[in-house]
Amino acid sequence: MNRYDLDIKLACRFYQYPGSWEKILSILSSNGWVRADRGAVKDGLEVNFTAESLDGLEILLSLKSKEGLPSPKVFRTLLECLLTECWYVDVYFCLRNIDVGKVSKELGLSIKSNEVRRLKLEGSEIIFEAYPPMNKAVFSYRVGVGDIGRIEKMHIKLFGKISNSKVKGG
Amino acid sequence: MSEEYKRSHVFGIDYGTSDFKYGPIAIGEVPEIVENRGYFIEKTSLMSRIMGVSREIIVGKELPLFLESREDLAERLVYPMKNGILEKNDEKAWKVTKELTRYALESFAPNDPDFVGFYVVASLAVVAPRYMYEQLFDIFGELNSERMLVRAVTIIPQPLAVAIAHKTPTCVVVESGHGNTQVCPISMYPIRNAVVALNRGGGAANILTSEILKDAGYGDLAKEEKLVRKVKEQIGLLPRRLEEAIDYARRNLDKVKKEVRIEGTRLRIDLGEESWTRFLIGEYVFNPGHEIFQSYFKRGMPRPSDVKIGDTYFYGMTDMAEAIIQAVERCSIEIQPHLYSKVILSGGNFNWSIPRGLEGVAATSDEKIKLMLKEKSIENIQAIVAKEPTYSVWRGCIVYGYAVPHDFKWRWERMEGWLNYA
Repeated sequence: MNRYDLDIKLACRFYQYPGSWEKILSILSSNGWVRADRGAVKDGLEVNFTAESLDGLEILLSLKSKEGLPSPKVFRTLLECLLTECWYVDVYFCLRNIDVGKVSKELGLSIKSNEVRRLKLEGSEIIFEAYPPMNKAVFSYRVGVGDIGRIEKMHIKLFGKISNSKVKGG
Repeated sequence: MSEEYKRSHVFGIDYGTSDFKYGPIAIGEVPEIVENRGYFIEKTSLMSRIMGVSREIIVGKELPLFLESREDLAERLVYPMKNGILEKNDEKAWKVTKELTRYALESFAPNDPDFVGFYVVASLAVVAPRYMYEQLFDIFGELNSERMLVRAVTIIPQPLAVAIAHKTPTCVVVESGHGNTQVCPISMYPIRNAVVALNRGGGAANILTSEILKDAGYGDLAKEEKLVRKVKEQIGLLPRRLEEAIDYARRNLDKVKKEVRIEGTRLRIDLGEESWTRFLIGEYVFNPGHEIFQSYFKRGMPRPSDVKIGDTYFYGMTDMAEAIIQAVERCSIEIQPHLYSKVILSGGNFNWSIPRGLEGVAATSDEKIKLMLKEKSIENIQAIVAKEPTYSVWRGCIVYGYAVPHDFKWRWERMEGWLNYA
């Protein structure tokens, strides 16, 4: 499998009351994550606090995996953990130095300029933002408690397709 | 327009003197970078008409493809900023800035009916005068005339962006880019009358690297600025204490010798017996007043000079620790210990690492600044280098844009909030 030049962001939306990084950290800690600086680590994954909205209803985290792309199972476990505190999580996979034309072809799309397309995969709506001149693409989707069962299958399908594309500098 | 739309369409732009960094929140942790410059095409020339070049200004990654003869460069290649400042009436400079801004936004604006413009967080030098804010706001408005690129804009000072990225309300941010250095105490907001600006940045270290290359017999390569910058990044070392480092390097040549290969060429650079000079490069960034540099000045290397741009003095030779002390001592005594306890070093000029085997001799920027401040009797110093310091301003822009509610209107008296264009 290609190693992706990949950033993952998780925008966590709390219920109607403001949350905080401390709240997220506490739920992670109780699930075996170890606090490290402004983040937490477990199973080769590192979650870091990035930003929060002024009303405290949303918090943005970045996620790094030693393997580049986290294993679907470990990723699902993390989301399950976050969703005990959050209403939903918006997941963004930002791929850099990627041949956007090839990726979109693998997904059955034809994209030549900056575009946003919506795909259905395993029952989830995925937003695909393509920036061909910049060799960048972003996949994003929303996960609530009811969607968690679909995550693993969807990941395997989505990233299975992309891994067939030659990634520049990957 | 919803808060949700805003959060997913925040766009950061860092107007650095040398490098222009930009990109939306969606692209992850690393922005796009192009040089802050533009090339004016001679539109009336026959060749540009034959080649179908209709634009007046070329900016961005394709700029090198349009460069003509060396004589033309001086006139047509425009670097719009000097020490982070655009002259009010410099029409060419403002045209380049407008074109770069358009280039950045168009690079990421999607062809999507749901897209109704970015929420742009632009970052300027802390010494940028008010007219720069006004003219930049005008530019964003003008860019919307052809296509809706900008929904709302806010502008923040670069050091504040760094403090925001680190969630540190009380600190001193030292932001050192290619062209200049800003030392800015922050207590919720930048303490503007305490700012100390230096007329030197990574570019000054490039000049010294060029002299070192000349002395080592690579005079032909020393003229190529980009190559010199690459060499500096690969061979430059920051010494803990210069005399001790030089002494160590002379006695342990094998530990400091390094061959640099220039990718895609047959070039190999090796300073050989002169490898101790690697330590001069880092020292010069922090303390150009060290007597060892006199020999370079005597041989014609330009000394960083004091200049006045607008109402701001930029000092050339003040060492980095002295600049921090001067800035902190302009603040109230009560806050001074708190400022020394949180010094954030940001910008590509602080990107120094310690190669294996040179621990104890070489230093990182935070270690160096702590040592220098301690030697000036400042106690309880805590300094950190921003994570990936080259991008910390852009990251701060993204964090700020994410946090500020979309309906928080711009207020000139506080210089905060969104100026809406829709």
